[in-house]
Amino acid sequence: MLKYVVKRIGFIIIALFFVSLITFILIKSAPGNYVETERLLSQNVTDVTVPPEVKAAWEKAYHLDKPAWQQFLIFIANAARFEFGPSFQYPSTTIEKIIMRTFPISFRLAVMAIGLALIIGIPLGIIAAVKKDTIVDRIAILLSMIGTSLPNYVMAVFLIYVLALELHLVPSIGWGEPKHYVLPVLSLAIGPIGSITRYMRASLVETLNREYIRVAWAKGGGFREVVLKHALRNSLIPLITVVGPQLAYLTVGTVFVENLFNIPGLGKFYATAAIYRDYPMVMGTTVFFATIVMLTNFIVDIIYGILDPRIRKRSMMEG
Amino acid sequence: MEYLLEVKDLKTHFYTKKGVIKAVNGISYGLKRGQTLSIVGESGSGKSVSVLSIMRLLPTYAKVNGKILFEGNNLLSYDDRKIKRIRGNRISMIFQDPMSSLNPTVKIGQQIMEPLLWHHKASKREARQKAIQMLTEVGIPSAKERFDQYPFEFSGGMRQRVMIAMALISEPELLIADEPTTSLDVTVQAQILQLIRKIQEKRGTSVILITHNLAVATMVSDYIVVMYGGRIVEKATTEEFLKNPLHPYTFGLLNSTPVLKSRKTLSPIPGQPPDLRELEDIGCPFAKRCPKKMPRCEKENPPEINLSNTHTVYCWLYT
Repeated sequence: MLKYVVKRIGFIIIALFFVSLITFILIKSAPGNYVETERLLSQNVTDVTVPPEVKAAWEKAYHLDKPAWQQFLIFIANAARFEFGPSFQYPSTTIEKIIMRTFPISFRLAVMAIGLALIIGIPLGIIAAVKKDTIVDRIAILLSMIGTSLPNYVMAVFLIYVLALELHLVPSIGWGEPKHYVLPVLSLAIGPIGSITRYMRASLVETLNREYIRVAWAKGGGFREVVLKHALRNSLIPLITVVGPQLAYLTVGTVFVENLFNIPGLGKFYATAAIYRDYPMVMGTTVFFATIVMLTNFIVDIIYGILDPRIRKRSMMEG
Repeated sequence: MEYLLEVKDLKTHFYTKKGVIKAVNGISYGLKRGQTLSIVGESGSGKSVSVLSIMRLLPTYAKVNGKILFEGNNLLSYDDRKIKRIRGNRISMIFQDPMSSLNPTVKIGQQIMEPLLWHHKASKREARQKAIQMLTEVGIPSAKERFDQYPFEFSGGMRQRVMIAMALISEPELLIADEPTTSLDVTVQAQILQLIRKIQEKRGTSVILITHNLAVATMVSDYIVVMYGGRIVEKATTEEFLKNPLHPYTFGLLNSTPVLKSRKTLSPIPGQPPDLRELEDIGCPFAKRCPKKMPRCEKENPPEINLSNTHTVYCWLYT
């Protein structure tokens, strides 16, 4: 087990190095730069030039006067200590501070959305599996297909229209009160609801065909004993492999939704940073998101091993 | 002696997209208390389907007709709740493949206790004691430690012992064993059969043994039913059966069963078991492969010839 953990962490570190390298190369080869972009976006046409000594001092502060490979090494050395320094846009604070402040917001949104998706998706999947090939099953499949194929920003616009503009149930924008969570969480949850329903159904249908399920019926079990106790248990274990990465994906993928609803989460900062060519911010958040995704997958694999007695006991025997 | 189980003109037909499959086509037999009845036949003869019909464990597209009298009550007229109370309580079943008959993620002990718990026949504590006692009885050493282990920690033979413990824990009147030794090593096969025999004698349980092995049937049973193409071709007490086998198919089976130390050459039955979809309603199902076929065999249903109260053959040869 320990050997496995060390190996996996090693792989994660190597992968993160390459993620950083690729992002760095892409950033360096992308057109435009922060100074020009900011001027264009703020439409500050009168101030055509920046005084050269100011620009030089600024470049020095961000190590932009050094050769690219040195810049990269400085980034790696700092990133290893979770230090990304100040960004172009927010020179008075550091990127890691921004991450620590805004990431919990994105993460909370993602957790709420996944929670909602599980609460709706699992029962829906169970019903579809038990009523396989009936009209109920067909409707569940159709709904889950719509859910998975609609991007969350489209869903968000639709929900704003129906729930906020037409029905006046919730405010369409704003942040800070519980009611402001409704629309973003719903928009984020639709996709996972679809995929969890579909996965749950497929997994349960497969399990229900197993011999030990017939044995459980033969022992006198009913729906509760056979489906909920015996079958669901074995179908839920693989579901973790779906939910874990989805949580990571959602934490990262709140970009659109956060911008749409003007939520001060990390996704919003990420998107703005890319528009403004705020490279330190882009580098910092990309590497951070990559770490989150890889760590989640890693944790999912560990949990999977703990839940499945076959894997758990074997790894214990090996030491 | 009164019959514990009486099957009368049982017909099980599967309604599929490709047509009706008449897996069981009008069979009748009776089983007395404390006795063992073997149903012998090739794969596809309908022997498994006939016992699954008793347990009502078939998919919904299977239509079961006739009468299955268990202590005089017709099980086919029972609703789901009533049949649930019979399953695993008064009639238990052991299946063919012990490797897939146990839920891989549930502890052995839990699975053994379930029939008692599901039928509210014992408290958890009593059930635990009984389960450990059953495990010892079926010959599993250090039962207390084994109780908390998972199926993957047991060998095939051990798992079949677990299945037997699970089937017998609620002290059913009838045990149905569907090819319980087919997937086991030859040495283990004999042990399992002896075990079933021993427990049956101790508790007075009636047993229906499904097997394709005639030697096994003659070894353990009081009464033998030979099935072919969804119908019974011959039924008799084991004694009568060995002394005076009558149906050409029975002969074929006997001649194709190896006997130790005998110089007799094996003569297989030519041809293939019938495709149930193509089987005619009229005529003897064995006619196509029968060495003693007469013209009327394919045109008329074979008559029921009673040679004694217990020996019946369905064949035109004996009119």
